[in-house]
Amino acid sequence: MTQQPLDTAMPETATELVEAAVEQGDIYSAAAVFGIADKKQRDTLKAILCGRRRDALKLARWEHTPAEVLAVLAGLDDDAIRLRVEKNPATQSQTLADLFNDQDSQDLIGLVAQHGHTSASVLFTIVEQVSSTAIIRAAARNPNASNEVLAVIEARFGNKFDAELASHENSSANILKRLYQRGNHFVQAAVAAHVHCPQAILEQAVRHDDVIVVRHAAANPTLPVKLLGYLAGHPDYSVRRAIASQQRLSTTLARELAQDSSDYVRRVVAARQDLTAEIIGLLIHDADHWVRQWVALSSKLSEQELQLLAEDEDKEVRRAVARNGKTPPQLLQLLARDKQTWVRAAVANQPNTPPEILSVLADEEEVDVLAAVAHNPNTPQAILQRLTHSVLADVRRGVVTNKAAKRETLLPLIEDPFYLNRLLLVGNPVLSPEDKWRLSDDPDPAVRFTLFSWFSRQYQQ
Amino acid sequence: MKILVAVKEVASLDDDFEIRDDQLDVDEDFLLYELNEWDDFSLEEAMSIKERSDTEVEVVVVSVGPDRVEESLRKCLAKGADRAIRVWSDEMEGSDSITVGRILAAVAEQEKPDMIFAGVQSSDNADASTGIAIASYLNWPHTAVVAGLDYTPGANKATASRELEGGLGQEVEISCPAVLTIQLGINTPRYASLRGIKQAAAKPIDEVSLSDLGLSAEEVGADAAFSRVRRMYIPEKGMATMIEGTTAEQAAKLAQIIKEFKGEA
Repeated sequence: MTQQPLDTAMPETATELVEAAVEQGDIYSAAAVFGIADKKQRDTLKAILCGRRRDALKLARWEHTPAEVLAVLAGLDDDAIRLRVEKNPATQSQTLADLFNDQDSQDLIGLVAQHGHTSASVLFTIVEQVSSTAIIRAAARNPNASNEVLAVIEARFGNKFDAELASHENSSANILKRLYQRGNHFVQAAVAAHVHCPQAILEQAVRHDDVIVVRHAAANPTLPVKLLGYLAGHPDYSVRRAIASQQRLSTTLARELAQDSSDYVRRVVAARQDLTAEIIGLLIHDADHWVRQWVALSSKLSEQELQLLAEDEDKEVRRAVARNGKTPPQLLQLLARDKQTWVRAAVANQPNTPPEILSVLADEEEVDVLAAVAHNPNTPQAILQRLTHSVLADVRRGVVTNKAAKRETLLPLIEDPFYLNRLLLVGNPVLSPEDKWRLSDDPDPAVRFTLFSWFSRQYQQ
Repeated sequence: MKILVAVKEVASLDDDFEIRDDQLDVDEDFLLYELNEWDDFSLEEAMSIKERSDTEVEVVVVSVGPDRVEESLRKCLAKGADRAIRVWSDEMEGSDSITVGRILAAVAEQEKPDMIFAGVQSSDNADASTGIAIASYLNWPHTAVVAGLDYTPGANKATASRELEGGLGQEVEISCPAVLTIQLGINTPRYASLRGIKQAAAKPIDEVSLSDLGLSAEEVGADAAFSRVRRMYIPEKGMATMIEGTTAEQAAKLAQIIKEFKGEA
């Protein structure tokens, strides 16, 4: 069945919306309204969705297909369609459970074991019943595997999946303790980095011979404060870098690490949110431009410090100043004349850039600058209207996503040649439902699906 | 003045596709159809010549294929092509690229264009021979892999820049009318306007059959083809090893492999 042009007025109710989708006969509109349809309407929609195998295959693999439609497709007696449903990230827990109960193919069970929506109870059944290494490994890596599931894996398979168990966020302190005792250095490192790692093991890990284990322990957010100072003087830079990223680092240690011999360590210090004036003073003249770039993003910089960094020889540093929310208009004015496009684009993106600077930048030809001007809520409406005529789709999309763009500015973009720009207008709050309904027979399936989904949500509330 | 643009609706593979029982092709349910990418550039080149020209230029797109091909032809109409021709008779089933070239040459003899554009190749079969076959059947000059073109409608010569292997370029002067196969990147294809798409949906597409072209059934189809598919299959996959372990262990193993590869370990 092919899409028919709609001659109906905008639907006012869920029933009318479903009727419009049925009249259109398009699989994407039908999929979008399936969730709000009544039983009789659903039967009609199923005929559209599943009438042709090609269409059913297409929907079964499409990542936007609603879960309730995937559940219908899973019920079809077609292995190729079911395979796609199992792979589809949108397939929900109950559908996966039904598929698991209905099959004995190891490949398909493996897909269920790794799916992000498979429930802990299904994973529990899998690890109790299956012995395939690939399937158990997939289950052991699944974030939904509970500690009980992981305990069964350990009980059934010994140390075979220690790497997966040590890395799984649901592993309990007891499991981790056993893993540390029997594991190799890599397993011990994963245990040391784990938030459930027992404190006694962390104490052992920070004194380990292998630097990988020490580095992982140093990165553990539950590391006792008393050990931060101990590791801040570690001879290996990767350990000191991990300490520099710790939330609970004292000012004294941060100052010490700000003078570290390793660029990598100073970069991490420079990226901290809690920089003091003294530490900024240590880092602002750093020879490494990455360090200066991170400092330039700090909200703690004074106007003089921002001025200094705005004149930095490295363009990435100047760009960081342009992105800094504390940068005053006169510095933004200076940076708006920067020879590097990337710096001027950052000025155009900056929410504090005044309209007069944006008006100047709007006369540029560089797409990065123009797209940012188009997206900036401070850009005058007349300029936005001019930019809707840009030949560059990215610039027009900037207007589409501009939070201050008015209805009369946006309306011409409903006929934008680039489908993504039309699609993004569907969710825009300043356009009326009547404006949006003009997209109901859009030639692009993703636009139609997005529109019918938007109307479905309105009528569902 | 007229430019004929030969286009093809190509098939791309869906995930986890299946081969047909006769093992000659992929099961059609697993194929997605779209306009051949190269042909999008050919059409754009014709459209830009038309738009730059002081004289009237007609851009006609032509494709050989069953009903579904109309979708691709309508895309071309939506982008501004003046007319579309779909050529099909059941006897054409199984035609290879040379035979399709023969059919398109017959269309050209009727349309009498001043220039013919075709894509360098199609993304599904990659024979890169249809455009050249058209030139051969018409006994017209041709040049392939055109990455730049200087042509004024009505002129008896055109200058084409060609892409050669090893990063070389070649500038070729060619007598017109000629057949040019157009390379990706020669221009930036436009998006069809929404209005253009809606207007294209209502435009007629000329349907031309075997008899309209004065060709016989013996000249087209599988029996006339110079090549035929004996078997379609999925080649055996090479060996791969999954690197297992914790993230740090995987990184260490990967670093070791790289060192060994570089001869450092």
